[in-house]
Amino acid sequence: MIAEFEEPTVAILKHTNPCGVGSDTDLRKAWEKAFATDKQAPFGGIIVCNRSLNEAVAKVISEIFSEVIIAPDFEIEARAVLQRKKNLRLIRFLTPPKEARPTTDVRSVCGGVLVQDADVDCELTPNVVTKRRPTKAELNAMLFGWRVVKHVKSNAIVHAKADRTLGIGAGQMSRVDASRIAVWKANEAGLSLKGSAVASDAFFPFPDGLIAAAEAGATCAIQPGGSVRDEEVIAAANERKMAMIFTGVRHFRH
Amino acid sequence: MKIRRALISVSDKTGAAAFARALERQGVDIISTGGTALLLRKEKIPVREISNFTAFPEVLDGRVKTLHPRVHGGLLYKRGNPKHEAEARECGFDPIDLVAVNLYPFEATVAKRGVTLAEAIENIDIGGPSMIRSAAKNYESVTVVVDPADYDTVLESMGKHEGETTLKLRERLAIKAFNRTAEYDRVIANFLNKAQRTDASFSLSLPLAMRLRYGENPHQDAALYPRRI
Repeated sequence: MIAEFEEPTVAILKHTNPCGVGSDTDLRKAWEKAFATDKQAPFGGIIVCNRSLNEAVAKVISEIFSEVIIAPDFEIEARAVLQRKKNLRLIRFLTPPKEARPTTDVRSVCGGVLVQDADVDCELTPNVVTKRRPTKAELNAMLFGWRVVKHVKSNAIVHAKADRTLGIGAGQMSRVDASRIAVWKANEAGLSLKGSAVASDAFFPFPDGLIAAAEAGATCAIQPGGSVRDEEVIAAANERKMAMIFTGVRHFRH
Repeated sequence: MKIRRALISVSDKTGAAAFARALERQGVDIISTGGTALLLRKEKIPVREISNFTAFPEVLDGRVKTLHPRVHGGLLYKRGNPKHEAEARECGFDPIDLVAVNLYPFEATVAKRGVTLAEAIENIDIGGPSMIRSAAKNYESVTVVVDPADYDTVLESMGKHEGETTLKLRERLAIKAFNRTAEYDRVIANFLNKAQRTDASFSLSLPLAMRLRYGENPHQDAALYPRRI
């Protein structure tokens, strides 16, 4: 996931799902944005960032208990701070994450082994399907959410701003539940979803998941589209003056 | 180029006689070894013994019989390459255009209860994989068949193309051949390593169960391989 981001970014992971992701020109602020998404779940989690870790970031990170920190490098002062923590493992990227991404994904499934192309970036052609076109800020928020939602276990819903996640709903059997959980998580964290973007890893099969997001404050949505009820979902978005993008590409992850 | 000469040496004799007869009817010379030659003769199919073809006796309890330059030269020289053609003529290499070989049943031998190490080692086929690999390397001209299930496909292709197989088929059979020898070596190494527990890498070779329409998402090409370990 970290390979998706160019700007300084921190992602906090737990059981291979992101708890929060934040980007900023300042890595410490990126951490604060990521951590703000969920202050409870990161306990015992894994922190990944795409810039060398400095002392300032190390200090704030060391306030919580983490298992692993992965970074391109650790400055000496940062290492000194983090080495005081027992059982915290520091891992340095030897290869940039973008280059280290395998092209083939091998998964153990019932009865055998599934060998598939890795779910790598697909050329994204944002196709606006609503009456209202997204603003620049909304578009950036949707793209941020889209980069994160791909890496959340399905069914996945992510509420985001252009530089941070606000609420993540992961691994639900129904999309509307993932949507409700994303909203609930944002409320728990005290984050407002007013003007947020909602990203969905697969199409909304019914308008309910989108409506739940809209009622919580989302003004735009990004999703693959392709449901037989797309028209109903688009109508629900139009009624609520939302802007919506269809990507045409689904990102299930199991 | 039309298939002129075939070498048939099979441990699993399923369909071998019928395949040899069909080849012989198309005017293909048949060379064979030990048990396969006996079977073909019993079926009244004219066959030439390998020791006659190489002009060298089968020695060391059969450990050396096909490991001969006349076999590997006949498989490996590049057809149509002037240098290769000249050297082949000089060395007396007659072309072998088709190889039907399957290997000593190492897998079945070691699957038996109480198999001894000596017994297992005698069942490591050396000549077979060597011929398979030589033939597969030169698939541009040579057809290699490691699976009796492919006999009919080869005959069908020859029937349609005046005694030739298509390059596409030869390529597919060569891939199958390299997979087969890799799988064979993997089983040998795993067996020997069972007791030794060396730092040898762990390798898997899984047959294809099916190619899937797609993987977790439509843009991910995927296939399923059944797991037996």
